[in-house]
Amino acid sequence: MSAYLLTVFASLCGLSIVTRVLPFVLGQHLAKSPRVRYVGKKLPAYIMLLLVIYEIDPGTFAHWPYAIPALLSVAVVILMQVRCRQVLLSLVVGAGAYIALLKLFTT
Amino acid sequence: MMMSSEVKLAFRLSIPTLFAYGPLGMVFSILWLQAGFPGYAAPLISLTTYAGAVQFLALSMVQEHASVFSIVLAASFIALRNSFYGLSFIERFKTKPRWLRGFLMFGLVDATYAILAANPKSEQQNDNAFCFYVTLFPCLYWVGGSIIGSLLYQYLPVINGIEFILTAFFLVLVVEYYLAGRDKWSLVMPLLFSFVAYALFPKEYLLLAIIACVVFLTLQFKCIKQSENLS
Repeated sequence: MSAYLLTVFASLCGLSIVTRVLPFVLGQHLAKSPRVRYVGKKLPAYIMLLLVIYEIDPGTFAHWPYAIPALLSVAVVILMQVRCRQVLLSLVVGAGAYIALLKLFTT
Repeated sequence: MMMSSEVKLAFRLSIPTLFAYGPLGMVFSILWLQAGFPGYAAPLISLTTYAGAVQFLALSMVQEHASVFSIVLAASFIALRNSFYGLSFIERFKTKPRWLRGFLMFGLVDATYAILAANPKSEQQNDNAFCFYVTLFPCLYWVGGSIIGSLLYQYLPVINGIEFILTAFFLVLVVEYYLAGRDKWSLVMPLLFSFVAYALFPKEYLLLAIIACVVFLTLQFKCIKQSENLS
């Protein structure tokens, strides 16, 4: 591997370590604050929805098929989960719907 | 050897991740090889960087011979979101042995965060073992996918859309959090923030939206405090 690639990926390894250890280094006194604990407790629900949006990618709304397969599959997953509360079932049906819709809309 | 209940539970919870990180790890290796870089490096990068979006971004940038500085800068906007994940586990990781703490911190990626946050510490299970396996499995899928991808890249069929299983997994958690807490803000604010942030800064919108949510929750805490003091 070239020196260039080695430098790039050694730096990125460092970046992963620093960004992930950071909250714990700062956290020694952060953890005592009730505000940080409140945010830490509430944050997962917010992050999950942000990750859903991130995975769908807002960029796909701009052109055909306008994220329609993703949005329809999202509706399927929500419906399945609210109705049946079976995690794996929701995932399998949701992903199946997405794969089928993607084929339908892009070919 | 008998498998402990923690391994089984962690594995069961990690299955959605298997179908997302595995194929994505493969795709990373395939693109890496197609770019003409040595195959052995792809799994090594997956192991040491262990950040999906960062790796894909870096791959596209090294092909254009971007400077190391610009690559790290661009990557840090994606990587910094992980800094906020730790906030939820400061207490939980504090009591872990040193080596385990280090591993849990490094391995705190999207899927691990999702599983650990949805499954808080409980009396019935050994939390050290549980956290270890929940962190280990996604890492194995990602690195394993990269290894398989670089070994078999000519023969692999690619199913378009299989990665939606991870989206669905995060979505199921959104539904479950909502049903448990009925916090309408948790549905409205992330949508609002990410679309505003995307309209303004499409490249760094995720990090900006996370920061906006943290600020929102901090303000919300202040309001709750104030109304408690009043009553």
